[in-house]
Amino acid sequence: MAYGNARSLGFACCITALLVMLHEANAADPSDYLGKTGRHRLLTGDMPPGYLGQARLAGRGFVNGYFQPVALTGPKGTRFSLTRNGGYSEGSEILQAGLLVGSVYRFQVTRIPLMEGAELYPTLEVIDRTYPPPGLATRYPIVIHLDQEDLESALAGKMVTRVIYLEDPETAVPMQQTPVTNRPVEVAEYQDALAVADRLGRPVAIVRIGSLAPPRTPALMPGFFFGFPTWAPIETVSQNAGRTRPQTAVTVPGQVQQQQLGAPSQDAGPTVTVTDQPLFK
Amino acid sequence: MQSIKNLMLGSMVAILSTGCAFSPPRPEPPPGAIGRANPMSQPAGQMQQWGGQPMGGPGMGPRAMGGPGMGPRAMGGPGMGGPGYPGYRPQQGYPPQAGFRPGGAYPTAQPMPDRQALAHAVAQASFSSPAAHQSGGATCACGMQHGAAPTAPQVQACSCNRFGGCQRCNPSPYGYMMPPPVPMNAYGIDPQEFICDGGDNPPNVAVRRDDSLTGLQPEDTVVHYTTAAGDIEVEASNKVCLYAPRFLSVRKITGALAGGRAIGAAQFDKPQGTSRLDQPLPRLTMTDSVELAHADVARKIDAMRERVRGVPVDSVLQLEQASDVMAALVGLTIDQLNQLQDDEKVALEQFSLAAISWALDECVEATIEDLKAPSLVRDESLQGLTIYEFPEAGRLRIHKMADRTDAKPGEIVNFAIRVENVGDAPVDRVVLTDNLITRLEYVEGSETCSAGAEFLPVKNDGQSLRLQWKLTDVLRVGESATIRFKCKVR
Repeated sequence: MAYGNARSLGFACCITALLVMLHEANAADPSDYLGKTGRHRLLTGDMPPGYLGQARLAGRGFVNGYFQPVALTGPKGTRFSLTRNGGYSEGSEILQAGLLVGSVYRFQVTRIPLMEGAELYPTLEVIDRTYPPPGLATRYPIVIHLDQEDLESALAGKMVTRVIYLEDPETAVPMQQTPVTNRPVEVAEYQDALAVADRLGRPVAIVRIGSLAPPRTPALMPGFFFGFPTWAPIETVSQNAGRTRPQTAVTVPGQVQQQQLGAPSQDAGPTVTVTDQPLFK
Repeated sequence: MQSIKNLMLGSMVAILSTGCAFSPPRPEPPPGAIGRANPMSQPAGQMQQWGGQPMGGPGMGPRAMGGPGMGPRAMGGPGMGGPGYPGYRPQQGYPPQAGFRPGGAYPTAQPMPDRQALAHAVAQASFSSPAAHQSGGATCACGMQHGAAPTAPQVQACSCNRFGGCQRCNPSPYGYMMPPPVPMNAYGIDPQEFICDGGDNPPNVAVRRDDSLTGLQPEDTVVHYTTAAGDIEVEASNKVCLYAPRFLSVRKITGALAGGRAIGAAQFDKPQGTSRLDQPLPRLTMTDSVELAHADVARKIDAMRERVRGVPVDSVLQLEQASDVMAALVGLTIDQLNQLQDDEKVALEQFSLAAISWALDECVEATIEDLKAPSLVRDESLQGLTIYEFPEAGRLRIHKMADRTDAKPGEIVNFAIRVENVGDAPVDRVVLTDNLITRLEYVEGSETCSAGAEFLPVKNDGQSLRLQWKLTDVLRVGESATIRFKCKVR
């Protein structure tokens, strides 16, 4: 009897130890990259530019030809500009433009604070659109704010990937959104920024900062600029500047759509004029 | 075994060649086996479905099925190639050649069967109409019949070529649902771009015995009050939504030297804010004894007829002289001599019955001081009872408004909440509660109330405030109170 009890006790201990080992192995397994569903993600944030956008165009929902308003801001004094007629303009501190969903745009960053003469040529890929009420498309663009650390890291030879996502209001961070407090969620190198953004909201754009200069060979320019996709400038008119508007500008209240903007050209489409309103209060 | 294999191969070749489901040539079926389903019909139907509608694959989350919150991971199916892959064809679905094959054998190794022979061997597909199953002869998968006169109505659009095969069949599913061709965002809105406040999200708000609230979600705006009857009622306001999208970003900085940089937050696992509720939820079973909160007034019937019995007469006055003798009693010895004779029994019995019937069917009516005496009716019973219920308690209507429909982060939104007594009785202890969501920040000192109220701002679980107003006065019938306050959009 005593031998039987001891054997049963030993068997129970072995089972318990095995369960504990299995439990600890599951909890501390660093290679649990498949997630709870046990499947690989088809799309990741480390894919080359253009892949996610084209996959979005091939997905459900018709977003082809929609010019998604996007606003780029950065540290004070930094200027952003998109290519126009094969070159860059002086740029502005707040760059607003209607960008095609699924296209990749190469814009220029100049006048970086504390980095005199340095330039950056990040890419901006719009992978989804917003659905604003009529008349509010240009008032509520996708706001992308690049901070000083982004630019300094890129100039230091690092690759900065920012996945901009639409925040879920039910799980929103209770923090005022200003350029100072709008801190990004940092992820490690082994993590997928797109997966994290997809968990927190709906990813809408990806900014990749790393290129320091365009190629010198003209044959590489179309590839560098991803085919010069069409974009629609959104010019801001100050409210104190009176009621005069430039003659070349086309005022489109509401959504910026391809039908309203006409046939896409190689560089820039017609201009959309909106009143000057701060992105942040 | 070989015959079964031939049957399957023939069916596969027919599917690949015509796009429709064919059955292999089979012997003449017995009369009782005409409507039997073909075991090969289900894979044929699946092939039709997969070939026509590209479905989402494992990467599609639940909200990606037609919802506006589709993420990029929901952009492809299991077989979706990318733009970088050769042969990438967006929104083309699965090509029929590479589509679903039910069996392991590949039919191209076999010679192509004669299409004339196949024309009489069209099988019933699983999604064909039941009428096609029951019809005799060879039947097309979409209801077209060959070799015999069509007896069943053709319910599907189908055209058959001269070889007898179906072309461009468009069968409707039978037995399972095919996803409707609805675009991703049919309504043109994304709820994630709006912040809403108001209403009563489930679980519904309930009032505990200590006058605290349970089930109060961050968006809820409710008012609870005590009616004149003692009942505690909870009324929810309407929902006010503002278009206020907010964009944040996830950053990853990678360099040539791995591990040379300390990066902050490694992972965000738990959603912040509103997914947690500290207040205990009400239990499923109530163990405490519930007392009677309100005793209804005992309702009485509208009218009642009294049943008055006859008063016994003690002193009976005897008749001294019969001056007017009833003609019916003339000649009766029992009336005159008080002697009962046998020949008069019949008459007496008849008069007795008449007296009884007179006493039962008719009643005595007398007029006393112009008042109508109640009639004495035997075996009177209640025929019906009608109860008229009148509203005995007050009822509040709460309405919430905002001065704008969209707001950027940092802008101020003015809210107004109006409660009005639309009932038939005054209400007491009116408490209005507005639980602000995470992205709404109450502007300090901005609240005003048109009636006397005690304002209590309390921090809630969403790192915002739960605003509460307790009206100090009774809200009478028709009276209202308007509360105004300002919020800053975060």
